[in-house]
Amino acid sequence: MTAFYDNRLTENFHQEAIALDTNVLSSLFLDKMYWEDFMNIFSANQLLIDPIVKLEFLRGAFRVNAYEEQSKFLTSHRFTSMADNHDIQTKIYEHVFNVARIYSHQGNPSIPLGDIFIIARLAVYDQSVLFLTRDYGDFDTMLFDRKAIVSIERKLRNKLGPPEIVEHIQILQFNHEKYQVCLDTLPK
Amino acid sequence: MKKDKKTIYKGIKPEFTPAGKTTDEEVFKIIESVQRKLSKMKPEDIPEMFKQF
Repeated sequence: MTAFYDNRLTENFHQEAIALDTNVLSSLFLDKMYWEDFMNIFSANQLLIDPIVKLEFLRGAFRVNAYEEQSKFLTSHRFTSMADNHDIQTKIYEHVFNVARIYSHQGNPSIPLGDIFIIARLAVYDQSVLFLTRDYGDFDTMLFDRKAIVSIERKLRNKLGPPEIVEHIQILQFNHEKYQVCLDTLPK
Repeated sequence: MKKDKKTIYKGIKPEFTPAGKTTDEEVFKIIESVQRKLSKMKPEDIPEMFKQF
């Protein structure tokens, strides 16, 4: 399996903390070689699991009868849990309504609730936290700066589809100034 | 008149805790186990996020 990315770009955030979206987590969960490629690229980064991402990842587990496996997977020594206490939740709630209003005002009122909470949490933190996702629809440059794109090949075992796919993961940084501009343009 | 400069919220320093101690070898066993389960399932029964396995 092969990964394609610009070394110069990934070196710029070599030791940043990176939060993973559910789509990236599910790819890691499905392929050992993908896991190895990914962990080689991001070996120096703290890989963060947002509680909402954890919930999204686990809620379908009963259909595969794999709750135990998925729960244990999330306790990998490679992952780090993001703090989830009353203080953080209060701050997230301060941003949740703003993020929802911004997306509605900018023509994306159907953004999933989970994504709104993920964005609100990223708004709470400073710029040392990056975000990895394959979702280009709900996570774009309206509120984020796109720092890089990493492409990783993944072989598929499901005989019904193509034998392999290439997944393009974008590395995003929440931009508080863009957020403020969007807030200022909301109707009063 | 001098215009007031707006203060932009810059965010707080994040706090994190290690998720656990599961090793890569244990993760690989989990991946293999789940791949076996998914291979035996009907396509329509597989959750959307695992459709492309």
